Amino acid sequence: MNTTDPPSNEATETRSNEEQMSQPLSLGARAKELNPQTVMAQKKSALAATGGLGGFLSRYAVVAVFLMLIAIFGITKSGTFLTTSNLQLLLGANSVALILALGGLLPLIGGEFDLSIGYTLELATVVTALLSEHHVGPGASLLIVMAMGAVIGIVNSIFITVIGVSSFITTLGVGTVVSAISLEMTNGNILISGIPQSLTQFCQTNVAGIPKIIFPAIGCFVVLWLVCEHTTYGRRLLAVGLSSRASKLAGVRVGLMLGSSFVLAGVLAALAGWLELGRVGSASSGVGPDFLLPAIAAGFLGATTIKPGRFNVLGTLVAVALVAVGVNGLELDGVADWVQPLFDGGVLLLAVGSAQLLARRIR
Amino acid sequence: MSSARPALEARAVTKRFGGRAVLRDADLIVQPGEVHALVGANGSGKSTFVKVLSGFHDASSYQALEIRGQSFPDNPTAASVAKLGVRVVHQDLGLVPELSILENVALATGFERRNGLIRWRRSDKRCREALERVELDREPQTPVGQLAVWERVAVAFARAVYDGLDAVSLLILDEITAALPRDQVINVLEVVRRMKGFGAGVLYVTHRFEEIFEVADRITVLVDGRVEVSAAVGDFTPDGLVDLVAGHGLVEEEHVPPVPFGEPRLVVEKLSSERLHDVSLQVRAGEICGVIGRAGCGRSSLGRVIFGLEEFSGGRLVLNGAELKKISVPRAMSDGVAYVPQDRLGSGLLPAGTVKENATLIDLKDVSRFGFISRRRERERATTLVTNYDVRPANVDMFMTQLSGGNQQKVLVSRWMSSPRTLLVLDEPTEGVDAGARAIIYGLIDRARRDGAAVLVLTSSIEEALELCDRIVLMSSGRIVREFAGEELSPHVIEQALLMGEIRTGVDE
Repeated sequence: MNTTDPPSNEATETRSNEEQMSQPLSLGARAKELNPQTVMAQKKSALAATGGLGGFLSRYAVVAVFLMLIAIFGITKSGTFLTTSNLQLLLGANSVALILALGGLLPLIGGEFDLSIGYTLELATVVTALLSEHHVGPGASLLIVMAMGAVIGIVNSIFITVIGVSSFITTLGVGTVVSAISLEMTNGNILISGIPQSLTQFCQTNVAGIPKIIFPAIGCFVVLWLVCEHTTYGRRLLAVGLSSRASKLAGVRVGLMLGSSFVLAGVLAALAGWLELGRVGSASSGVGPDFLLPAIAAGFLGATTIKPGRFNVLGTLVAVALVAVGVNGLELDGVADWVQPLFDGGVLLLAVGSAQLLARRIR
Repeated sequence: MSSARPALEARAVTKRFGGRAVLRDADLIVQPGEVHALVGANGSGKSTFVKVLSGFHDASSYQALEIRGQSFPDNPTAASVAKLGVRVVHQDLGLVPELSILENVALATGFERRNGLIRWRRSDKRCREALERVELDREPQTPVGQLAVWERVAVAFARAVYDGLDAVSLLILDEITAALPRDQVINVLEVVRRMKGFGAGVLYVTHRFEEIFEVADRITVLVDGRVEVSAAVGDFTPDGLVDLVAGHGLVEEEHVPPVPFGEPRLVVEKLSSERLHDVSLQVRAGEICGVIGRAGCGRSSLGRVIFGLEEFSGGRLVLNGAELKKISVPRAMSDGVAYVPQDRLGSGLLPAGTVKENATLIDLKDVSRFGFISRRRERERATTLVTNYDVRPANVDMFMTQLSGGNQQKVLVSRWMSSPRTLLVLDEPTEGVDAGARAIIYGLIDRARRDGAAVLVLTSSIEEALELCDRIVLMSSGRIVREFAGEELSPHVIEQALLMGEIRTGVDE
């Protein structure tokens, strides 16, 4: 019955009374707990302490698993896995996944989530299909859906940076609204008519044995790698993700950085949707969630490799490739549709879980 | 008085940390119904004494320790003194602003329960009873965040007397008014008097002397861990008390600035904000000005306003001769203002970033072209900084968290030195830093001022202010209450002014 219990004292000690008064409990404040960079930051410093072999292993463990999977499937399923047609299918199908994952990566680097990208992709397929019915060319419709993706990103960033709602809640809400728009537009039908041949041809055919659809994905990868690793924009976005308070004190325009990352995420998701329509040849509402989780999972898995502890572009590429090969290899056995979600969810848990365990062990 | 058992009787209490004795053979007797003030300078052992009495620290040795006549042959635990009715209210009060009064009270006392379920109506009733005892007229459902600061203190009191006034034998109040505006202190003192009226002994620990003369019956003065004097309040005069507490063993030396001062770099006139009131201050090129004051006096706010982190609502802010109606961080930076915040890891650095990333973040433009960072120039810039300012280990790829506090601080301060700045605003520049790092940071500050920067040092350490500054201003409750220059730059004068605190508000310019 002592009037002061030390734990509760300690908890409040760091904030002055005045400060407490001026900070009501808001969703914005809660968002800190969901900050993806703080999940990763613990691991970061832990890994830094391990030089040498340990550091090497943690850096390339995912790459090693990836190579092992190729070797295993190559040996056990030599007739089906390492065939030109399978690899072409693999590359083609995962180009869209890579672009979406890169889109989702930018807000993650800035310390926020974008859960609306899956729905933006979905809406982009639907809008492109509908525009095609009205004889709008693929080039024009690409510009339109990318502008649409940018608008979704702007809406996200207004809620997050101006109003101060947590990105988790914002993008979940915005994404759900976007899915409603797709549903209204399609009326629940699958749109297949009028999809321009030039688009489907580009997305479904090969040049010199390589699926053409992979080129925009490679383009996005290279540009984002340059932006994130070599530009002041990438560095500032990273700084915001590591500590938005410290970044603000260092003169970084935190709102601008975060806002732009959501806009870019929306644009990339729209591009991914446009390509997806060409690849599949049909558009329907409701596919968003199927795309969302793998993209976010790839970001997190990518943060355990190449530059462990940091969301990074090269790591995301490796992660997308690893999941793609894993799922493809298992599906060749004819196992059912549930393999993909099982793999995606498992990867997400494994990636974040191993990061935490490693951090604890080293500490 | 002689017939009643003392609420507290402590004899020859000694407490050592390592080899250093912070409390030596200290006696303290608090009678029931008495407000007993425990005073002393920083580091005199007040808080250690309180912690021993409340069972949070074990004393190294003591002759006797009795609460209400119950003696403790061994060091008491927090639970055992609580059972005998010792209640402690600390400065930070331990309240959660988002929770209601009832929930805050229940945090410490537990809810009224039956079969594991909370009995809300009964909890509410008991909370009302406790609030009545301290005569706080508030609904138990009111969130604590909506209360005035003195009302929060009253809630903490209500929590202490939850089990009834008879259950309280000794109420220890540890600097509860330190963060309180002057006009609200009166309300708190009123509650303190009420407590004493019910027969509890009150041990009142404070820095504010004017309160002592208003509320205390007896005073015990601690100097270097010893009881210097313990007597009825009538035996003291305010000035005599200040001399007892502050006037000893401090060396005074003359301070001569090494460079003549130039143009005013920073001018604020009647600056007001949420926490500042009519602050006027001028710092000239080459000058180091210190801002001191108690926690919550507004000195950090002043720094934050100048760097554009908090808005100002009135007054003028002039940087390098140009008046600014509004100020933002990028604007302040482009005007050559450097700012080092107090909370190093929380808001100064990217803890999970490397030394290199932290060192170059504030002027990435200098190491990049067309938005592309030059790896080579970035590394050069960081390496130069690490070598020049002796950051150890000298590895720019280390993560900040792997560096000691002193080395982190060196990076945080020195990264502003890559190009000349017009104004340095440093909030607690050497807090939690070892002597070596402190010397390097002082060297940095001195170099910046010789290069023509104006420097504003916001600090809680009088020694630091005296060592660095050409001029010192004292802040209290968001106002500048006094300025010290020339001969007044002496520890004695400043300690005295600080101790007398609000009594002198508005006396000097």
